Amino acid sequence: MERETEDKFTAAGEGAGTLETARAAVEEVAALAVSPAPEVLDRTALLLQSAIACLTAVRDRSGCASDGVGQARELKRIQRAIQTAGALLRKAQQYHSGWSGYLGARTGGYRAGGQPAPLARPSRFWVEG
Amino acid sequence: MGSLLSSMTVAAGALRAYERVLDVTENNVANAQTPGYAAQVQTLEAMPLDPSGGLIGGVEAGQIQSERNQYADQQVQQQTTLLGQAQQQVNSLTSLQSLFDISGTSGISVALNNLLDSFSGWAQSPNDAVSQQSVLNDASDLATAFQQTATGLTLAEQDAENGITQTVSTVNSLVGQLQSYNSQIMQGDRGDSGLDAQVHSTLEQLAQYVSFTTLNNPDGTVSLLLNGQTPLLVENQQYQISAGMEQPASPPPVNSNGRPPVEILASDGTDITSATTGGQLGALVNFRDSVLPSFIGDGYQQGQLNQMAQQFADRVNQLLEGGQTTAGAAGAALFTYNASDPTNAAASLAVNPEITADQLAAGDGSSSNGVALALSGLENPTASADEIDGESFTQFYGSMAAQVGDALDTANNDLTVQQSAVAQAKNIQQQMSGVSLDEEATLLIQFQNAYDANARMLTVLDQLVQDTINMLPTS
Repeated sequence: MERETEDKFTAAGEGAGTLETARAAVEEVAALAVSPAPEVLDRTALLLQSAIACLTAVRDRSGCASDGVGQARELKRIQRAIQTAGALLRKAQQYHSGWSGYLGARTGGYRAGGQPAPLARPSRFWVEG
Repeated sequence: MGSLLSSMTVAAGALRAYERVLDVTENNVANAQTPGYAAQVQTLEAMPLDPSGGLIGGVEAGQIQSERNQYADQQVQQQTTLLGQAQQQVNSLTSLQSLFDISGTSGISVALNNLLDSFSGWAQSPNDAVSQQSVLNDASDLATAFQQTATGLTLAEQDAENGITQTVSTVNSLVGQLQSYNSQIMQGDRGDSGLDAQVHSTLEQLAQYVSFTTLNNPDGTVSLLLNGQTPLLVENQQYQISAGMEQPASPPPVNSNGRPPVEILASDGTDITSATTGGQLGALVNFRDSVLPSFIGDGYQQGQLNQMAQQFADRVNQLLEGGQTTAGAAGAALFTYNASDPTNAAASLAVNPEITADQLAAGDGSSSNGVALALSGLENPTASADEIDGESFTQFYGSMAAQVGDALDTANNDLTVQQSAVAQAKNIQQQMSGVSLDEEATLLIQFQNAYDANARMLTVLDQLVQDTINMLPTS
């Protein structure tokens, strides 16, 4: 019975975006966030954008949704995936901002308030020919 | 000729230097899987060049430097501490969940439902001996279910205490290993990359048990502060921690028989329990001193399980003792428990050994089944006297079981996140190693911008999910 309900919901959501595709996108963000690199984070941003588009489409259809239970269950799973992805991105951000502060203090010392000096951004330019 | 000889000397020196570089590289490759090992770099130094003064230049091998990044190591340790804590929480709560079955097939939940059904059946036929006996049998099953759950909680308490003792012993043993490494370093083995790997591997092991801060001393030794403040190791002096149980004098306990809390003591006897929140040890202390007492009680609280056992027994007894048997006699109490120890109500709950089926009072003076009806009404109470904390007894038990289920659910999520977080910290450690400072500065700014963009989108996504949930039909 439960399976049938889920199938019905998936079929109803096909086309303009389903909760499953939104969840898959957020879960991929969580998997990618384990090895964050700037290019990976660009990809996670795109995935999150696609998840937002899917969910917006689902939300706009939800006013006439008959399968509240199946949908609620899937939304809870998405919430959990968002929490995981969010936690990993937050931890990575803390890591890099801590490292940034550490390097700033090592290269520029500390400010009067005790905060590390901002990390100096090197200026560069390329000439190709 | 002199020039040719000089060239050969320079070339020979360069070959020796590059041989050292190869040796170091080979050693790095061989130790790629060695826990705690950090890659070593053979530095090369230019020799002075002044042909007129006889200095022929060339290159020679300089010092071997470690690529260890203390910041990255510390991040891995911090995430490992959180992983140890999450793992222990899942283990502890999994054992607890098995005691609170809500599937309706075993435990208090099914026994309570059966007894309430028996009360209902008895109300239909108050003089029927089979119905009366059924009430006695189901009451006995419920008492047994309370006893078994209380015993399970007591065993969980003992397991947690054993776990704390073992963890404290493991922590002391690992710090003891680090102390011996410090001694070796102080005796001159500072540059030994194998010893360095052992130190860092041991620190990573220690991190899963407790939260600590590492101080890298100028002489190459490490000092450790438990929870950032209690010394565990300073040079070659170890400070052992210990675990015990003692009831604090203040505030005075309300329940004199309640189990005293576990306390973690520094080597000078200072109580550091409240600061011990991280790692496996922190999770065990929290489970033993906070989670379990909320169910089974301690010096300051009765515990929800005891509260439920006592209030249910009291209400059932009160109704029965106020009624009349078929023969017109006053009713007898159905349950007994140890009233002198509120933290022992569930463990001591039993059916009154004196009662017989015909002493069950179904009537209330105005009708032959008034009391039996009132007892069956406990399933859907309409009066506060039939409730516990504003809920029916069935709902109260459901809430208790749901607390455990929700906590386990959260702990499982935390564990999933932390497993990924440790892998993430190790990946970033690799990613940043060997990158020049200029490149790092550029990378870090790129990272910051990317994180900001992702964070904004996550906020939008989270809100969208919540909006959609709110729009769903509530049925």
